[in-house]
Amino acid sequence: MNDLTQKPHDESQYETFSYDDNLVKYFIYGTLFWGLVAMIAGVWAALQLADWRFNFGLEWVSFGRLRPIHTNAAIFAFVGNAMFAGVYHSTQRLCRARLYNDFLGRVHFWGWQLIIVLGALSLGMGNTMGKEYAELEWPLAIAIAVIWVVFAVNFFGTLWRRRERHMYVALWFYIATIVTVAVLHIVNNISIPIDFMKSYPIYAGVQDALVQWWYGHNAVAFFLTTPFLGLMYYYVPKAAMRPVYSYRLSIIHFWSLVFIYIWAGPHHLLYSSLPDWVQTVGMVFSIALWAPSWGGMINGLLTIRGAWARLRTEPTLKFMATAITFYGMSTFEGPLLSIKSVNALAHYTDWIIGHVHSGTIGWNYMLIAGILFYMIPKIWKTEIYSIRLANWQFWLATFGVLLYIVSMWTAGVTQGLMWRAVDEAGRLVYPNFVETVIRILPMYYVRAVGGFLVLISFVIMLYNFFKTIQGAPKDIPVEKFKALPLIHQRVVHGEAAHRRIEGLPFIFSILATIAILVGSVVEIIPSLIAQNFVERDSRVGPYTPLEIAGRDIYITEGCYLCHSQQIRPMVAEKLRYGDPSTAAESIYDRPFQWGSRRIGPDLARVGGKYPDMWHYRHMWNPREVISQSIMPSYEWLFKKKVDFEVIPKKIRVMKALGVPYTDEQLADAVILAKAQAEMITEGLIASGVPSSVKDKEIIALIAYLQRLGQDTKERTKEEVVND
Amino acid sequence: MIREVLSRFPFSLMPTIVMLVFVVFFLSMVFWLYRRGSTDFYKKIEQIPLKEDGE
Ligand code: HEC
Repeated sequence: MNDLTQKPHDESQYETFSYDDNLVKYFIYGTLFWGLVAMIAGVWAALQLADWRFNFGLEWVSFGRLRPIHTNAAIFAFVGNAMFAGVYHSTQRLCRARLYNDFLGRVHFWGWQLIIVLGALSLGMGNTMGKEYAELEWPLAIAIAVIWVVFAVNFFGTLWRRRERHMYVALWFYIATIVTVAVLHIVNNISIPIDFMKSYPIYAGVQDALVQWWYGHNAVAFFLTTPFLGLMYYYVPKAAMRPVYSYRLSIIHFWSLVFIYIWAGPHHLLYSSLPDWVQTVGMVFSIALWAPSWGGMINGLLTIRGAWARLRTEPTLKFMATAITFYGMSTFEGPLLSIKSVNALAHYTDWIIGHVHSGTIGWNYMLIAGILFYMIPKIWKTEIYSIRLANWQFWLATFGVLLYIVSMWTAGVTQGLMWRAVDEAGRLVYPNFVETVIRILPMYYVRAVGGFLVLISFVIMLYNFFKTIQGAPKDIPVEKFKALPLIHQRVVHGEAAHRRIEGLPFIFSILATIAILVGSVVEIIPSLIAQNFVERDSRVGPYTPLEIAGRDIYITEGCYLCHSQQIRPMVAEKLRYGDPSTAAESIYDRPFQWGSRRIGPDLARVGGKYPDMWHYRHMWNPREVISQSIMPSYEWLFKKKVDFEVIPKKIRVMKALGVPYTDEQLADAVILAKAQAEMITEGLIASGVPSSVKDKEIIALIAYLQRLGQDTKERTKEEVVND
Repeated sequence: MIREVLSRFPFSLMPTIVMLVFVVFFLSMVFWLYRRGSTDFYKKIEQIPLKEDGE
């Protein structure tokens, strides 16, 4: 048995315990399985952009639905399971205590896997909130909250029972993660259900945008970053067999990071119709983030420095050093991209996609690999099956992610420059959007190859771990440890100090919560109230019942993942799309659909740009009207019927949320919707379309598309007269 | 009331105000970290992960 307190003491006061490593094993299996799924989905989505035929004409996996499956699987399934494995493994050891409750641990594991499976199915079916990384609809969002609480209870229970008096810095990062993710998830998901798998957020337009990106950015911060920094502070010293380079620096790293990170969200909304001061705060704090992030990187790398010689032979250290380097790279790139003038070029382009993959592949995957190479032999009491394979994996992954990043830089900068190119006469050099798409297609192939190499590296790792676990000794007796409970350690130091220590996790959690709430409250609350003094535009009215139905189809199909609806105040954008978007224009948008990427053109003012028939043909097969288009075909919209019966429910919820529908509009919602559908269909029939389309989804979608930007459009005299 | 105050608040000063708050927060943290006698304390804590855990 191992004495973990290392102090001579009365033998009878010692407690004997073991660690719950079976739960850790489950989460490792989860990590490996979902990592594979996420990467396959990623490579597939990459292929869809390189060649639209990879959509296979299938509703469930067309790009707008596959992309959320990929991102959710990567973030919450792959990285999530890895986080839980690492947190549970390291927390038990840092606390010298078994997990608080074995059963809760199983509930956590199986609950999380069930949410993932149901989440993937529902995303495939098109149930989505329409907000990036928060797509899962309300029943699943509630389930996530419940399981998160289970995780929190198990974690804090373990802290409560700890036999190590001091809370090592890794635990601080875990605490910040648990608290902040709960706050973010709940606030961003507050919505009113329409039916079992559909709801509208209580926020609209600019508010919704702000809340969503406060959430979105901090999902990166507190799901992909802080827990993994905690893991870094535990596993890197373990693997390097020396303490962290500077413990003080790790404290500075922690507090600065949690304080600053929470402010950075608005850098996703630069040049949008968000109030200027919020944009500036977002930018300033994003740039400031560079400092603590690099403090952490330096701390990690200098910890490894003492073990540099072992880097070549030990996969664990090699992966960790690379992960930390990528962390440094992405946390340099992030602040850079937040500088408004850089953002003007990079926003809506693939540069951002490259950036996020240097984080998720370079940092998360590499660090996870490093941790698994450490953890698996320890838990299974064996040696890694093949170092050679680990080296192959390492080089394939590194080369793959570099190909990915570099191709996305090239694509992003190319497209960004082409969008803004204006000739001497003040005209766009590339007025046809599709020209800017074709130019970057080769880069889409390179990206797919890069992603494929990363996938192969992952498969190699799977094989390596499979053989490792297969070769492990069976029936190893559960290892027992002994340590003094805090109660007895207490006697040495006196009462007052002890109460303080016991209460430490609590006080600490409060402090961390304050640190993240300051930023959240100051940034978001004024904007929630500010909605009342966002200048209203009397020309902007609510959507018609049919347009609401069409808008929800737009959300279901994930059109927002390829199309923005937010024109920035720049010359080239005005030339291409029209006047800059205003906050007033999206006042009835629940959820907002500003988008984050322009794989296709902005649609904020597409209404009236083309006749209905153009959209009809374009949605059936974009290649019919734009021969080189990479947009998927949406043939199922021509077969599926609009659910007219649910429209009144939607209007009722909208009305309850303050959208000025009259009682008559509510009462007649179905009739109004059908009448508008009839009208659009009549126009199409003239071009030879069968009248049977009148109750199909395509008609509602056309109604919505034709409405976009219409309210604020300058009309010619004749148009006014005709109306 | 809150609305009243908010509508008059000079939001353009916000980045500066928050930055100042952070600088104060940061400096107090650094002073606290180098408080007397803390070096031994941190030396002890940084060893926690490395204590023998039977592996
Ligand atoms: C894979 C990305 C992708 C998805 C998903 C996507 N589009 Fe597109 N879209 C494009 C591209 C690229 C273009 C430009 C070429 C073209 O016009 O087909 C485009 C063009 C358009 C246009 C013409 C805009 C203009 O100003 O010329 C409309 C309208 C449109 N898409 C609507 C939609 C709708 C509605 C959906 C969802 C049902 C959707 N798109 C989904 C990529 C996409």
